[in-house]
Amino acid sequence: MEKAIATKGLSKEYSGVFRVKDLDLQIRQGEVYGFLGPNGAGKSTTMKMILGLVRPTRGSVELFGQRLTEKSRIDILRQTGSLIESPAYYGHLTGMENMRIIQKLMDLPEKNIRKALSIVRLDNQRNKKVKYYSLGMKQRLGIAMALARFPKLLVLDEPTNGLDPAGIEEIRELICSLPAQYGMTVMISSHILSEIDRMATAAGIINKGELVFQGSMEELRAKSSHSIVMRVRSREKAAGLLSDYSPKMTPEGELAFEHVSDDAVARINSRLVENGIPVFRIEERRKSLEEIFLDLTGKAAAL
Amino acid sequence: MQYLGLEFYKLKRRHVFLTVLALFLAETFFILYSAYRSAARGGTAADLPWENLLMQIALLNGLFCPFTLAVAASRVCDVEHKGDTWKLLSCCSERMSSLYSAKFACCMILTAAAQAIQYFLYAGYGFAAKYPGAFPAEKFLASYAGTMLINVGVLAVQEFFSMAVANQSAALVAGLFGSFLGFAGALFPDSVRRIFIWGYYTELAQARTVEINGKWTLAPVAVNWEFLAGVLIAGLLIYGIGKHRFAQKEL
Repeated sequence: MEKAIATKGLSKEYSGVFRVKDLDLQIRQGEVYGFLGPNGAGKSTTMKMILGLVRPTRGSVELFGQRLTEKSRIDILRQTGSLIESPAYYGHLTGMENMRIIQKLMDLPEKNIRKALSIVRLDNQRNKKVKYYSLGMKQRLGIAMALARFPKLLVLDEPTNGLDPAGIEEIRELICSLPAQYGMTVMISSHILSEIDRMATAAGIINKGELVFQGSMEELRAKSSHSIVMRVRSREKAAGLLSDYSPKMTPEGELAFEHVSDDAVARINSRLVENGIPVFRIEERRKSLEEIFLDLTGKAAAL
Repeated sequence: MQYLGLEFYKLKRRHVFLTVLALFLAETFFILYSAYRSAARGGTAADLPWENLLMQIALLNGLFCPFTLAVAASRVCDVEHKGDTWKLLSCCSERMSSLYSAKFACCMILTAAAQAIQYFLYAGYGFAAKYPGAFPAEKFLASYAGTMLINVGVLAVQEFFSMAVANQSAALVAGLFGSFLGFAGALFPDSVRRIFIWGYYTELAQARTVEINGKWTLAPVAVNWEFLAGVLIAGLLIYGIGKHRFAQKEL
């Protein structure tokens, strides 16, 4: 399938430091691609390079098979809609007047802007000046502006910032419906993993400017290795008895076993009981996506 | 043209034209009041009222034009800074160089229209006050056209500031500085005054006071269009540099 976005060795250097380094993104058409990373990882810089707002230090960007250059940028961007960083607006104009500017700039039919406003549920507020909108409403207006031409590619940088839980749910539903309803590809960045987990079909994780994971959400979840945790009476004695299974002591005072089969769990339990060590609890623990994310980005990274 | 139309659309409810017009009308009031007082006192100003009026216009344009242009440029550019709309416009296929040009043209049109009203008021006052002699249409036209040429240069500087720096007080301070040079420039020697584009408004006085047989009178002076062409070229150069810099800027 043709790629909606493909970057090759994409890098950006500011004052001698690479904020983004050798990024090879592959986003297929029709995907909702979650672009994850801690704050300051290089998500916005990458998105800006994809939209030609920032010139890469090296590397290239291809959108729908066309290489993004100074010359081709305007034509290529006709197929995209975007919301980068904070929503942009003219506060002294109404929501509808803001949409009219987009309409005139992009030469869009009237129905497009009305539909975009209705999708983000701003049609009742369209005649109110934007400076009186709440942050969530401004965010929704930003999304309506990005949607106005019903582009093939939608690039959204943290679009749920400032939204209340109901608003987040609305935007989530909207984003999930876009590929099926309008054949759009969506690239959405966030530093909140659970948000991406519920929306995306594929993900890329960036840390300190480098891509540390790229693949489907299933592939990401498959990284979630499980372990067996046991709570026993005499942990040290039990550990010595089960040294052939290489148990680990958890900070919570339990014994943890990695990669053990069900049969092995039964054998461990029998051995402990036979040696007079009471077993209080046996449970399976899976790494949450959050933990996988932290593993990939380094635990010290601020989420 | 589409971008220029959009610039005017963005100014809805900003009352930019009214602000510009109000500043120029304040200038008109000062000029006409001064012309009235001069005529009432008699002497040269009463004998050559049209020439006196044109001289007053040139002098006060040096004071009012730089600041009014600074206000216009600031109001027109500020709409983008306030809403941080640069990225939005750039992603909506608007070239940053076109945006720069559209804003420049928008400011020029606003100030040219407001100043056209001013010049009609000056002429109207002259007729109403029954100034002697024929209406010097050619001199008025030269004054207006020359002012527009200098405005191009001054506006190029102001737009450069207003587009580059989000805090518009920097641009307004530049405008105030320009007003000082424009007004007080007449007191400086020519070699100093001509370094600054703001100082050229007084070149449009088209008359100067001379002493003949112990009596002060006004002698006609032709507009030095070569100097003004130089100002225009300098202005276009500043405009070109500003536009290029802005188009290359990363957002």
